[in-house]
Amino acid sequence: MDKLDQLPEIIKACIKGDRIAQKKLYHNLADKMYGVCLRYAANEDEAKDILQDGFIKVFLNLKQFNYKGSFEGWVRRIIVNTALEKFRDKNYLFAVNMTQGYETSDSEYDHILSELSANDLLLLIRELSPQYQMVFNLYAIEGYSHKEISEIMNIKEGTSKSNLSRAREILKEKINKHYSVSVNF
Amino acid sequence: MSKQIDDIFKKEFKDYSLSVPDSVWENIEQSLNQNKKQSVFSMYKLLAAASILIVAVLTLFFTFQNTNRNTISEKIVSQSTTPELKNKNKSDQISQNKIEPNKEIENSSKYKNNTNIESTKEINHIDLTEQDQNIVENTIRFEKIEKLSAKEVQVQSNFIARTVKLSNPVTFPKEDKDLIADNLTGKKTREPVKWIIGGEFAPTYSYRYLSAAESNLEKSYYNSVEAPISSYSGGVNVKIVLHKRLSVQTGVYYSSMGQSINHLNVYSNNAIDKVDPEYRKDFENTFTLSNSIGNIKFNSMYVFVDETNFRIDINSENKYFFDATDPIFNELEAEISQNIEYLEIPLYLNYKFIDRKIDLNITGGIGANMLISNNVYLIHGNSKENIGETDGVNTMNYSGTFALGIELPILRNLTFNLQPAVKYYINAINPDSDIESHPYSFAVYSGFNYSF
Repeated sequence: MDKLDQLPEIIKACIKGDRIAQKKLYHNLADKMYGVCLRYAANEDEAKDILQDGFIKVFLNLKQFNYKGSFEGWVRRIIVNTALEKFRDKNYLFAVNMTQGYETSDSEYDHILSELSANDLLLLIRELSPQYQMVFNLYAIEGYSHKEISEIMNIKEGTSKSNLSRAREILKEKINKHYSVSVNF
Repeated sequence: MSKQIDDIFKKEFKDYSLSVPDSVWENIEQSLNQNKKQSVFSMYKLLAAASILIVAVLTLFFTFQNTNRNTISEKIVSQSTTPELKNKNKSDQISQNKIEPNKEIENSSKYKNNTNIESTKEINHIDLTEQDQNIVENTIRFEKIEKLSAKEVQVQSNFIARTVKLSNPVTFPKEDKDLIADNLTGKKTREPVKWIIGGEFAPTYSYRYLSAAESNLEKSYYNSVEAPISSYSGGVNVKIVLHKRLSVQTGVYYSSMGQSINHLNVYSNNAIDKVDPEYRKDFENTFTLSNSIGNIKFNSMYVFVDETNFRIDINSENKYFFDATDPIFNELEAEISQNIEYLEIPLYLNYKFIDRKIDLNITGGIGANMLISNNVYLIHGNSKENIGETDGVNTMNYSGTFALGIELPILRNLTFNLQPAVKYYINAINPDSDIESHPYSFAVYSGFNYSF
């Protein structure tokens, strides 16, 4: 998106309410941001809601973009914040799933993971509880620290760490369960 | 292993995208349309307010102008229904011919002894029939005039001579009509409408008055750490002179108001270094710093802390670390300046209490102030850096202004004016806050006026 020629002009036109420019801006980022939304959402409908609300915020707040950083990064941040708001609204309080999977060696996972597509991983993430999903997304993919996650999600730093740890364990279990049969160790 | 899971997910999702159903854009478009309608509506409100203002000014102007014209035209109408001199016989009264006293025709003429010409407000012309002429000739003769009481009748000889000699029909020349009409209104000449346009500029001292329902610590705290700022103001104006000394003024003025916040330590946002460089740009601060106007929303990489942490919102979404022992600027080296800029459409009345070669005047009125910019700057040394904006500032505010001015002539239609003015915001600019902030400013305007 940032490589899009005349980005500043398009942004200015969007600020003025130029619908064609808005559509152009949207279509340049929508698919990628939908990918982000899908990671945070429980299903496609929720992902579409996040995308929709997120882009409305983008258009309404375009004036605040200061051209200093990446525009895509700016939009992505708004989308992630929108996902966080949805998460807070739902106020999920899921009990931590303590079921233990059987142990698989690191070398086995190396192999299995390298075979998995983004769509497979997406399904795995979405099978996590909303809170684990959120913590894993923020930490592993967006690059937030536990301290930051604790503040964003209003949880303790230790909770963020344990949630991440549990999320990883569950992902391991699921990978093992779903794919061990089809993958030769 | 754990890290590897993270890396695999991160790698796979880095550029992951999926085709979005068209319905999402349709919904966004619909929502933007609604938003546009709302903004169009507020534009209409603005236009409506401006129209009311213009209508008010024009109404005032035309009302006043019509009053003058009516006075004159009434008299002209009475002239056009010219008194005819009728005479059925010598003893009949010539009662319809009305002559208004004026400076040209001193005192009214009353003809008695068979002829009675009652005074009226004015005469511009007299249409006389042939018969009337005879009456005039029969009744108004110099010898009869001589009989009239000197106190009752004084008609200038040229008027009488003209009247008597008039052929049929008789009309007074236009200049006579004008002269009579002007005399009646007390004017030497009829003055055209006077318009004045001007432009002026002023250095401004701006601060605010705080009011709270209950006196509280915050108010006194804010008063101790906040300070006035120097800014500027300027604009163009149009005056319509309603009367020799009174004019109504409108125009468009820009003004920058605000305050500064002192006693802050400024720190670098170290958390930026803790995130993946790829996402570093996404981690600009979103700290808020409360003050008497409203929370400041930062978009910079700085963290601002006062001695007590009183104003840092610890519940803000993104709070980052900083090294408390290592400020970039200590409290003596930097300050925050909250600038709020307005475009004002004023409606002022201006009265010249001294109307000589050098005029002195007073001006007072109200203004509608539209918010056009809201910025917060970090000022350190000679550097000024935009770091965010103040939340919750009203977009439309109303102010009262009072000014004293002096006007010095430069050329025939050009004057230089100097005008100290005080402006006070009648409404609180931060309606959602417990502490109401009413900005005010002192400014000394200087500029030029050109009259048409």
